[in-house]
Amino acid sequence: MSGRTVSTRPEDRRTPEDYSGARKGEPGKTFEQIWAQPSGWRIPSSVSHRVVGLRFIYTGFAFFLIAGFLALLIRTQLIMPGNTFLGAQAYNQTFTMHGTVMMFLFAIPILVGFANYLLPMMLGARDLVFPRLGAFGYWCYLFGGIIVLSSFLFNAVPDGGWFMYVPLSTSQYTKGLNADFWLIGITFAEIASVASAVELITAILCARAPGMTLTKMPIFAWYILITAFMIAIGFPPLIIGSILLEAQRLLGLPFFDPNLGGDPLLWQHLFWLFGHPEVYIIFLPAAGMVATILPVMVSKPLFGYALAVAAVLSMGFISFGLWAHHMFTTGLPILLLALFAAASSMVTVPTGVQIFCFIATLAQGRPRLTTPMLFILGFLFIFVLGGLTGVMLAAVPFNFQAHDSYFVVAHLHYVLIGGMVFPLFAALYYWMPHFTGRMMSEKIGTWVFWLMFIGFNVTFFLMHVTGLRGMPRRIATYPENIGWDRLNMLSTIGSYILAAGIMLFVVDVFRHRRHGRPAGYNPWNAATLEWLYPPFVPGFNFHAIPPVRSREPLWDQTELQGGAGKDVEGLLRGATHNRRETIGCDPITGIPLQVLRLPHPTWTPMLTAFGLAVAFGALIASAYAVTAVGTAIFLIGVIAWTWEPSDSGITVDAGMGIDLPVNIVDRRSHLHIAVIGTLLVLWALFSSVLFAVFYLWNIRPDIAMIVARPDAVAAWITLAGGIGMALSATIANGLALQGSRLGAALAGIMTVTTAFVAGGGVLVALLPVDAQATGLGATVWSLAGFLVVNLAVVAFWGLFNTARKVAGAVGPGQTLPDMNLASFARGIAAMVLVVAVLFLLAAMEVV
Amino acid sequence: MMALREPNRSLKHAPSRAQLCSLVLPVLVWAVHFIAVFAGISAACAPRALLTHDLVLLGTVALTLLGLVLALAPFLRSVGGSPALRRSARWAAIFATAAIMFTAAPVLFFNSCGG
Repeated sequence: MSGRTVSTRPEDRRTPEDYSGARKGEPGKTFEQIWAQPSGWRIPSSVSHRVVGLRFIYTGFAFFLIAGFLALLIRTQLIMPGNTFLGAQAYNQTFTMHGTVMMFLFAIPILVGFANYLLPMMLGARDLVFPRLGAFGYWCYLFGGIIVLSSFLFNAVPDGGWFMYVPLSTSQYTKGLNADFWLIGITFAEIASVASAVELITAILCARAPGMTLTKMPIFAWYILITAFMIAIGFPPLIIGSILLEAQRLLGLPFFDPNLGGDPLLWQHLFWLFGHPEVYIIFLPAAGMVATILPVMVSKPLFGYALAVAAVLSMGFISFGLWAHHMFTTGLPILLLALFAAASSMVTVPTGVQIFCFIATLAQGRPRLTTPMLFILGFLFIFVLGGLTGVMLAAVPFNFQAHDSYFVVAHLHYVLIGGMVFPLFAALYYWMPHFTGRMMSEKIGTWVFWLMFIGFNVTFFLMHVTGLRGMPRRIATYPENIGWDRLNMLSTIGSYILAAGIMLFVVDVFRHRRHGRPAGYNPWNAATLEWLYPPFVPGFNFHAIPPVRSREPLWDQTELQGGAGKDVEGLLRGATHNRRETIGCDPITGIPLQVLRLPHPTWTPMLTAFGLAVAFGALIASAYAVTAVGTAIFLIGVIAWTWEPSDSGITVDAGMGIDLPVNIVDRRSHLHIAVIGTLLVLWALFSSVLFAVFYLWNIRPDIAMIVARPDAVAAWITLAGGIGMALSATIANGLALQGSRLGAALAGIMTVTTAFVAGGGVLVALLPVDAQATGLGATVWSLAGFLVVNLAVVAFWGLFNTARKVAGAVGPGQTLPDMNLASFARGIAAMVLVVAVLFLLAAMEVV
Repeated sequence: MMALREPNRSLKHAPSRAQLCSLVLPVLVWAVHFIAVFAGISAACAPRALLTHDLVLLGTVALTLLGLVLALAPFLRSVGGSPALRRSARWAAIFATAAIMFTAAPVLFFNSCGG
């Protein structure tokens, strides 16, 4: 085919005069200027993936050091029996915050940071597809972390363990704000992870270089893609659990009160439904880093790419079926214990397959024993040991003995430090030249590794023995001469050695900024596209986005070698259209599909996150008026964020002889895929509440009998409203596609109206049910509340779309918002359908 | 000029939607199977005792057989396209098949909720 390829879609042929794109653009600026990072006081307004990624990494590492310091306090307290370095209360707070900060404020965010930073460059994109969402996620994470740590200033440090079991964390036994700081702060920080998940899914599927099919993607992208889906499904149970617990504390709703038909085990189920996938969410990105770095060190491709993809996918799914192995000693039926024991044993298969892929890759060649390679070898040794003790703990009889002992502490640190921290340090040494343009010291790095490796094993290997000798977790001290003294002292000394290694790393980070050897082009002879340019990579990542024909493009495609990144042939060479742009692709085949318009630096993500932070923080203080103000700021931020001229409806020259539509109106659009990703999260949240309802209904039939039945008429109205809402939104989309703006606006009003009808119906249906009388009543009201919030979102969105049409802000062919709302409304309508049917069955006394 | 509209040099080796579905189907089958078995055990072993153990056993056997057939679909029906994705789908089928059997095993070995 020769000549230009012009889109034949009718809506793309029109290029009205005012569709220059310059309304949001920066006319008169060069390509480099458009992509320049803001400087001075404007720096926080940057939304570039590299800036946001590095913010996540540096902030995450800071939290790592804080939590590590807390760990040293724990070990110092335990160095000898009867020690009084920390009082019992302070000890409880210390181990709670150590676990909380490590699990929520370090592990996931730093890995998200690496994903944000690396993926666009690895995939051949100029940025992630939703830079503002990434920036918003960062600010939510930072503000959430500040809320949690500010508990130190208010003498209200959480002290119920990182998993905040009830009834200890209910207001009956934790009267202060300790638990509230945890519940609210962590829920807020989790919004960052969920937002990142949606962004990463969309970026990996929609913004790859031409020719980069799914099987030509770097293996790291597969690991992150599956991890992101796991976050989208795995975080909601904890979000719901935290909201329910906070509602119990604030409003007295008896979700977990056995006296009123609640169940403390409901909290454990919801927590571990999150908690177990969480540890795989922590492991997988780190394993992805190993899968990326190891082949480079051996100078051979990863062994068994297809096998590894299957193993990661299987692990991602199966990890959701293990959660109750954290609850083996809670009195669950033995048949259920056997189910979870079997699943917990089974997950070792795909895990082991990945380890074998790594070992087979090592066996293909002679690895260079660089510092990253040392940490990878350390990972293999430590993580495999942790996996073996995991199989031991999966055996129920053994678990009965070892549960809540130091054996479990040893196991979890072996898998988490071995499976995440060691790969993280490998990644830091490997990619630091990319961040700073200079190499870290191999000599110091070797010292760092051995101090960490020896320190870690001395600290934690001995804990297996300590645990088998009966030492329980979370005790502030212990009596002397029962066989724990020397083991604890040695563990503490080991922890100081481990800390020394980490401190030496920090010293090297600062040292290398001035004295490190300049990295030059591709210092590791790596295969993936982030090394296309010599450090520093230009702000736009690629002068032109090159077509990709190989999984290891820098090894196999000669035109990409030698550091001449700026001369490489590709799409969007120097093209600005006064805007930041990248190429959007078909999610499966990688065929270029569209030009994606990207936002320029903006303050709206920070403002929106700030509003949410004020709302959440004020909730802790019970300052509800301030909460309302914060919510208003958040909503203003959302409106400012989304009320902007659309970019759809035009076609532009993408270079290399092809024209592409901008922000295509298609189900494969990045915006539509993000809507589907968001629906996945919402359905996970909905399913978590549904789980709570069914659980309490099943466990406490005596209580279920006395709960009033929903009103049947209102339930039918709810059903009708939900169906009407789905139909209205679909019709609005259809009319918009036909160009009938008035028709679409009217159908939009109908969408809003039917959303209100459905929401009103569900609330009226539950009027007979007392939310405070029983746990089941409270959970059913929570289900209704969740539905109403989502219906409110549909209504808000419908009004927003209509307002934009009325204001003349929507041009021909700009129907993406209608398509997206139609899909969203149908997803929410399905929830309405489930709830309405449930209420009807209850009203008819079928259930 | 590079045919950028066509991935790689040959469309016939490009991944397809059908292939992606064949990759994900086995693990989705496992997920549905697991949820069903978990729900069945919960229904039988909770105070409400909605189901008897025999019904749970019968249901598990039926679902397991069905699940195994569906999970092994990548072997029974080869979908053209990318060889790598085809291999991945087959490996995923093997993992899912094993996982389905592991999930069913406790129900087959126990003749009650066990207390």
